[in-house]
Amino acid sequence: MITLKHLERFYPLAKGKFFYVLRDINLEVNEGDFVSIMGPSGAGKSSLLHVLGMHDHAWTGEYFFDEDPIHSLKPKERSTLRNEKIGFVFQNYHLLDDLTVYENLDIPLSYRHVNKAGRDSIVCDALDRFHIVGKKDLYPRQLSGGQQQLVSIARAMIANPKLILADEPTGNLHSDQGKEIMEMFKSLNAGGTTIIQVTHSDVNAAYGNRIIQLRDGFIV
Amino acid sequence: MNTLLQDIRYGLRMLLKHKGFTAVAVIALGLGIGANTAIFSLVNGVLLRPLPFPDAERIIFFEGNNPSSGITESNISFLDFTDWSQQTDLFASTAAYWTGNANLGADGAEPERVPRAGVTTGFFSVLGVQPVLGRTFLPEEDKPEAITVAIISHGLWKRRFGSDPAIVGKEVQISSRPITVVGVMPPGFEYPEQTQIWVTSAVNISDEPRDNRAWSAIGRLNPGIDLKQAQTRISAINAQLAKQSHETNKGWDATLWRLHERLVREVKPSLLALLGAVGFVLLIACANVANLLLARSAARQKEIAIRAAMGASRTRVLRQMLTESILLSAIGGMAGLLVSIWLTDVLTSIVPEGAARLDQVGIDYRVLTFALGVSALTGILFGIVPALQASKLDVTSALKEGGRSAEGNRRTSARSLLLIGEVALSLVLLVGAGLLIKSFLRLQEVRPGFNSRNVLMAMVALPGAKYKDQQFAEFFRQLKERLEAAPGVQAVGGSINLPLAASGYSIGRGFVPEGRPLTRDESFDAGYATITGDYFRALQVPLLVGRIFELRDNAEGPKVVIINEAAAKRHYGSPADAIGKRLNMWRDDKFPREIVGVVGDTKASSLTGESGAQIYVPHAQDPQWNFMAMVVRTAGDPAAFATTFRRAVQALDKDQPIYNVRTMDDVVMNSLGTRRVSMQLFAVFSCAALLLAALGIYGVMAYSVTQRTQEIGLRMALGAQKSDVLGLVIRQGMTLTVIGIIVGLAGAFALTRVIGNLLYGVTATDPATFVAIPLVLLFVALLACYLPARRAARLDPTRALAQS
Repeated sequence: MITLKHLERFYPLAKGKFFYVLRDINLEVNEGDFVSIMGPSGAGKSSLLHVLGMHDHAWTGEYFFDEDPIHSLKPKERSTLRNEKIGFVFQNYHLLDDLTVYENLDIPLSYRHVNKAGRDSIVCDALDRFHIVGKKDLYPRQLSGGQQQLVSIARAMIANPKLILADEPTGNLHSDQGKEIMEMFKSLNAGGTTIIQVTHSDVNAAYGNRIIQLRDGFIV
Repeated sequence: MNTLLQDIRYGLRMLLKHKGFTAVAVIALGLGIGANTAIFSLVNGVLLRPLPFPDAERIIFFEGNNPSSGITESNISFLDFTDWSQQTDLFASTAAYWTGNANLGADGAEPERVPRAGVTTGFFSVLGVQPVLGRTFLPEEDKPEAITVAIISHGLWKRRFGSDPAIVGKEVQISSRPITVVGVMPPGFEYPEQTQIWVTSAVNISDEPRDNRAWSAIGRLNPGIDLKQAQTRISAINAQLAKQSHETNKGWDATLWRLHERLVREVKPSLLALLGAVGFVLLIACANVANLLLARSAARQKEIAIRAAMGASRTRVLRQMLTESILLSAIGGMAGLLVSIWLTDVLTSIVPEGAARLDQVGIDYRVLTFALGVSALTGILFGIVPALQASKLDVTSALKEGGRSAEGNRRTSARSLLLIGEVALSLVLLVGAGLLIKSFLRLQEVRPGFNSRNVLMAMVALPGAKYKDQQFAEFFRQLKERLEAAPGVQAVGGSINLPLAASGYSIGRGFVPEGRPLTRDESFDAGYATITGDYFRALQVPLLVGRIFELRDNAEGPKVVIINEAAAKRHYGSPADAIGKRLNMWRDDKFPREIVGVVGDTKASSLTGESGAQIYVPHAQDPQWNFMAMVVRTAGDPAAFATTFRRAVQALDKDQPIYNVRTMDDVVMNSLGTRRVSMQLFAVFSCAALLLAALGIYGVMAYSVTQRTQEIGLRMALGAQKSDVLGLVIRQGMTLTVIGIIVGLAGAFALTRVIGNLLYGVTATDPATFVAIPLVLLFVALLACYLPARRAARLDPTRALAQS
């Protein structure tokens, strides 16, 4: 599903020097994988996740997604592909504060030009599926951390992506809530969704079937 | 469409959530859009709205000029007009007319004086207007020196005749003559000069002198004839006339104006300058709101990044942001429309009386479209920079908690640029206002030659059907006696021709010192006034040498004259040398008059104009004048004397109205007219600009201090003193201000020339103004920088570092 070849991400410094955050990354991720990226702070975990999520375009090397050569696509083509195939879950949930739960789920569909009737139906299904129907008119600030992350996962899944990228999804949750969220990921993975998560937790990494260790920008 | 509604819904929610921001922005925009719409409603009513006549662009106005004599705006000669009409096929119809007033009375109601015009039969056909009742004049009704029929305005018909449906054919008393009403014009038709009664011209062509340039004329161009063609033909005829009638037509030509252009030409430059000025205020308001939005978009960085991460394209983010700013400007526009309705009333009440087409000012579809357009444009203008900034957001950095990115720097640069723009625009406006204020002060320093305090003026015009020559003089003599007997009256006099054109009448005579041939020579032209009573004492015009008129200067006494200082110096070298000399007046008097006194100069038509030579003659020795502008000097408030004045006139003749009643202070104030209003509005707009710019500087600096809290804390921790921090912040703000001032000075040099014709006694590049205004702006900017700088200097470094 994903192939990275000699991928590098660096920031230019003064006097023609560069600071590398990702170096010579070669990686294969298959459909249905549940991959955990681990490593110390500053190892490049989040940077790799953002490159995979096509938010970051300033890298070199080759990146194939479902045979599509991302490295030769224009930013607009990348964002179309991202909207079709990738969902995101963040450590800080990153829900839109001024939108209700319903509207937070609705907005990614609106950005994908789904018509109103279609959106209503998909959002209602998601509310059912994630057991948050009763919360649909609440604002994020009215939810607990775990509930917010649940909404965030529901939002990531709303457009039915093939891949979920999760950046320390349980980082801000206590252990019970964290466990609940990881179980949710496991069940999504069992349903066929590929998951790549960044985590510091060995327990959470154990939910996956593969661990990638990063250090100083290298896969070790 | 559905997503647009979603954007609007979210936009409204954002505006409601941030009530403080929304309120500040709506107030700034409401005032900006409101002021623009109000000024535009003036521009629309006066300049843009076509005259209410069919094919009005084909109606032209003839204006006389004689460049070799320095005469640029003159009425025209009836005989010249007849030649223009008859010798060409340029016009579908033409008409000549005179304007004056008529007394309405003798029907039991309060007597009143109303504007009247004497028109040739083609008048209504040129304008393309038909009466709503009755008919227009028939050619055979325009008899020499006899007025028997009249057409009245709709307003007069309603007000004075109770909308009598049988008014046509009825006889009414107009200036004590029985006149038959033959028509009533449609509502709103009052051309020229708010005319209420139209009568026939009564021109006597066989006796009409060719050099009697007391007529106005209009014409309707034939289809296919343009103004330039017509001008060429008329000028050719005038050149021919100058050869044929050298004595009366030497140097004379006529300028053809579109009637609309001619009516509005006085106010057009002021209106356009004001529209420009108020546009600047709106731009500054936009810059301020854009700065607010930029500050807010910094706070919304995370939200926008999430939207982008959720799949929002750059266009969609841009659209969302622009939707919000247009919503904001739409609300501002609605507030502005309300402000403009109020402001339009204020503006129409402060513009000088008699300003052209003021009745046309109001809110119509054009004004509404303007308000809508300005609101939309404003929304885009202040929204585009923040929206573009937001849409270019680096998602990866923004989503990282505490992540630093180039966004902050980009936003700061945009804010700095907006601030420089604000300062520059404010400076241009302030310089414009400074120049206008200085020129207004110069105007106020101009002495009109008389003391306007505590003087009331009122005009009385006696009907020729009731009084003749010496009866006129006798009436005004008796009126003077009655008025003098009233308590608090210090002096009473009258003249056909008051200074500053207050009586609305002026006439010139040739000043021919004895011994010279009695022929026309423009270089000897002088203003002419027949006066009565203690005219000079009432206006406190100083007697320089000799004496003023006395009772002995009556019809039987030796013929005498008083001249002003300018005339004395021009013809005799000094006032003293003029006394005892004799002069003739071309061409009315056939006998010489002895100069018995020389008085000070008074400004004849305006404060900015020259005083010019002036001749005064006692009414008893030139009793043909049936009207007088009476002036009464009182001990107390002159305006309160109007009722006493009216009673004194009606005690002499119960049907006699008075009109043009006002204090001479008002006359002086009104003579400053357009300049005063332009100056006041420029001053208001520039103060608003200064305030907005100060707020802008404060906002940018306060935001910068917030953003630099950590840096400032660190500097203080490393040993920076409070003065260092103060200097740091003030230096940043003042650097931007100085750049703005430099840009603004360049703009002001280029743009103040536009208002050059509104200035008096000051050049458009007046060095003092160009030095003083930047200093004022620097001082205000310093204050605006000082407040955030003081806050920065008071930061607790431990807390500042901990906060970061």
